[in-house]
Amino acid sequence: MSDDSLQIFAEEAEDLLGVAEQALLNLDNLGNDAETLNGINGLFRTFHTIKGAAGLFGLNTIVDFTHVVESVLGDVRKGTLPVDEELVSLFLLSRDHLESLVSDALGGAGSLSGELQATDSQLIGKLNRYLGILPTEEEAPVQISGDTAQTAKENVDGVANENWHISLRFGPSAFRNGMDPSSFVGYLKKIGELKSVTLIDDAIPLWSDFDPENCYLGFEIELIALNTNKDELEDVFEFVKDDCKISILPPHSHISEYIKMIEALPEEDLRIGDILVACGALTSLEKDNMLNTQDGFCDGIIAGGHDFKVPQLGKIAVEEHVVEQEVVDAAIKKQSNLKQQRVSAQQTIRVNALKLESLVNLVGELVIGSANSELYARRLADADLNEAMENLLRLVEEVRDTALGLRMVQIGETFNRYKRVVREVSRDTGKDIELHISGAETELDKTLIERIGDPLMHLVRNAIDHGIESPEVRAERGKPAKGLVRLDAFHDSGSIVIQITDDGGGLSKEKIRNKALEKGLVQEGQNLSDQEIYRLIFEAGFSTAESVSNLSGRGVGMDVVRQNIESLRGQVEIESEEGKGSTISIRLPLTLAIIDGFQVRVGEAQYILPLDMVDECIELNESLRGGDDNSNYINLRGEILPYMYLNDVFKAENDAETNAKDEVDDRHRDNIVVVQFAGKKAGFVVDELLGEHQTVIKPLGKIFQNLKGISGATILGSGEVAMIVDIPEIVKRVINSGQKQFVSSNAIH
Amino acid sequence: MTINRLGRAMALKKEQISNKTQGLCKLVIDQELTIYTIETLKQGLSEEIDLYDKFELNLASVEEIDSAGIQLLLALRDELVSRKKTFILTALSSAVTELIDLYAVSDRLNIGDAA
Repeated sequence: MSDDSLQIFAEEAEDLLGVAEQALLNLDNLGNDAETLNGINGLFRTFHTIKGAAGLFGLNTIVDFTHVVESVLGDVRKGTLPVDEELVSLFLLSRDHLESLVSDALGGAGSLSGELQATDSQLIGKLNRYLGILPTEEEAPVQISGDTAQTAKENVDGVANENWHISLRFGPSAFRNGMDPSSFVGYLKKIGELKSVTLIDDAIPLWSDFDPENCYLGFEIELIALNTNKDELEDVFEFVKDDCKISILPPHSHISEYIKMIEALPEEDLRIGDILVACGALTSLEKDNMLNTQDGFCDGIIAGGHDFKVPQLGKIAVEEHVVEQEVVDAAIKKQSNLKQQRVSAQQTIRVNALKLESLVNLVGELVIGSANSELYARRLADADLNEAMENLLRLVEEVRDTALGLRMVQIGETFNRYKRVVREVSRDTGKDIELHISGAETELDKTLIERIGDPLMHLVRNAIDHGIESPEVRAERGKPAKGLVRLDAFHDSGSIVIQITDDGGGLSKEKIRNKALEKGLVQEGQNLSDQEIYRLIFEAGFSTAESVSNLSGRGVGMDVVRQNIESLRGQVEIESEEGKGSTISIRLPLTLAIIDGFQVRVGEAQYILPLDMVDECIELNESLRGGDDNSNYINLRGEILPYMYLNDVFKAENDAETNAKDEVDDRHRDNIVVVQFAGKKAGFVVDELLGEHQTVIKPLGKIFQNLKGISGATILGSGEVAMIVDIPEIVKRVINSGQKQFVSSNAIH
Repeated sequence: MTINRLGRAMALKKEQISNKTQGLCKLVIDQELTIYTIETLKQGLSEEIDLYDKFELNLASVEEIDSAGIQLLLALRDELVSRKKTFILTALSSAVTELIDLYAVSDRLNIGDAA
């Protein structure tokens, strides 16, 4: 088996299992029968495809397991088995188990580990209970009389045998022609694994008639060959085909193929039947039924003159006809599926993440390099060169955007994972909860998605466990019994916002405050804004202990959630109304690698502000200041805008000079860059505006990880380093200092 | 010692201790148990079959064996079983073991230790 194709199988299976999960979760919500039936049909197809693919690769454990699942689904489809929540849960567990089996197969382990084996038999046992029959019976093959649909279905599936069956009868002159059967049998080992080899010596005559140079041998071989096809196997026997009768039956061959083969063999049918059972080609049930069928055939033909036999023959033919129709349908379906797969294969290609990473890195270097070239081109002041440079820069920018776009993934898939979580948690807590998802098509960087998954999961669990009240409480409060949790994603000024909203009890400011006091996180009498109170729940060691359960106690704590988000340069915000619910908003930068920056100079140093957050630039003059030099506000077209000297923030020069600048510096033209983040505006006073700059974000080293106000560094065209200003952090600081001043000035007046 | 048609040394030797009264025949097959020696081997064996009741076939020095060789052993077994005589293979060489394993016929051939 080649690892590559096995990998493809694993990926396909993963996709299919994803589809299956969605379909299963949808089953819960489907009101009318038609939709349910549709869903079941889809599920049946999905599992069937997995089974088929696994069979192709000889992954017997997967085939066996999927077969049972499929049988139960078959009953559901027929309407003999009603779908209930328990059954859906069992299917979900089976789906999970299949996932483990697939990854196990990918790991190359020949047999199941004890744990998997245990789950395997446990689930099969449970599923069989739904079938109400023993596992062996359900594999019953062709039945002449009886349920046509059942017969047809089993026939489509063929015999249970997953292996290739190769039947060989060598001709007498094989040895003399220099053929040795052992070399062929030995060669099969190179194609696959010999499950069993049965040497047939029935043709050896009595010693007196025995010519030892004649070959009387035959073989029935079970071959586990994953990646082969009939042609390849036939090629093995190419040299010997004149001296040997060869039948090659692919895995799950139709029972009639076996009948044909058996009839062609010189040995007695019963004897061959037993041999086939012994070597594992057929189950004994299959054999019995097959031989019965065959007898029917023979009787029918032999006793053709008798009227009462003829109908039986006709019946078989009808049966066969039905079967053919089914086979044809299945074949057509398979082909159209393949076609669809091919179409979608053209739409997406799988690329190694490392390759993409190195591409993005290279593009980053390209951006730096082109900035460098641009600088020198400008110095030369050659019109042609500059024009060419402009063109080049535009292209680099496009390349950059495209390269970054490659890493963008829709968040929907991650959201869908939470459907499962919601289902389980709501079952465990006895709450009826609906998950509402919007903005699933919102794209963000793959690495971000991967790293936001766990924190989001925690928040969703929290919302259900702590947020949504129990049905009784909800009824008391006059809310609908069904709790609502919303997951929304959307773009907002250069960031992506993910919101988790619940219509539950909301956060109790009082409770949080008391808890914080108890823990010594805040002091008595400390004045806290709502936001500040809510943020306390993200503090390490803070938990509203009275409501901790095993559900949200699992995994990460809220402080870890915050840390994770902040490590992605993201922000968390909570809005809540007691009794009505809460909304947690996570703001994340679109990408981690390259941004459009706005370059400014403060003192000697250059800084980059993310362009997406820059609103406008204005000159800071007396009229704006309103004559009050000490206030940190300007009147921006009737709006109060808090501002701050970026210099103060970074203390680029000594305090005296800063103060001097602060007081009077009429000749110096200060500029205010107005930035906006999460709906809040603030101004930064800078010395010079240098304009747009494509910024490749270089993370700061570990030592500077906790540096506030700087989110990274970049290399300018000139080779200098410029710091990237962490606008969210500074905006917070500006607003805070503004508020304090506001409060204190209020107190004075 | 006879020479077969391909000029090879006759591959069947009868050990001295073979004892007619006890009916035990100890035979050693030498070097080759293949299509090239099979005819002479059969002839040699045929001569002994009538004379003894118990047969022991020592295969220690068989360096080459092919399907014809296995077929001969199976035919011999059938013949001896049908005549209610016993038949045992001893001291299998690695070449013999390998082929017997490939064909999974070890339980059809009575393999055991020398008496």
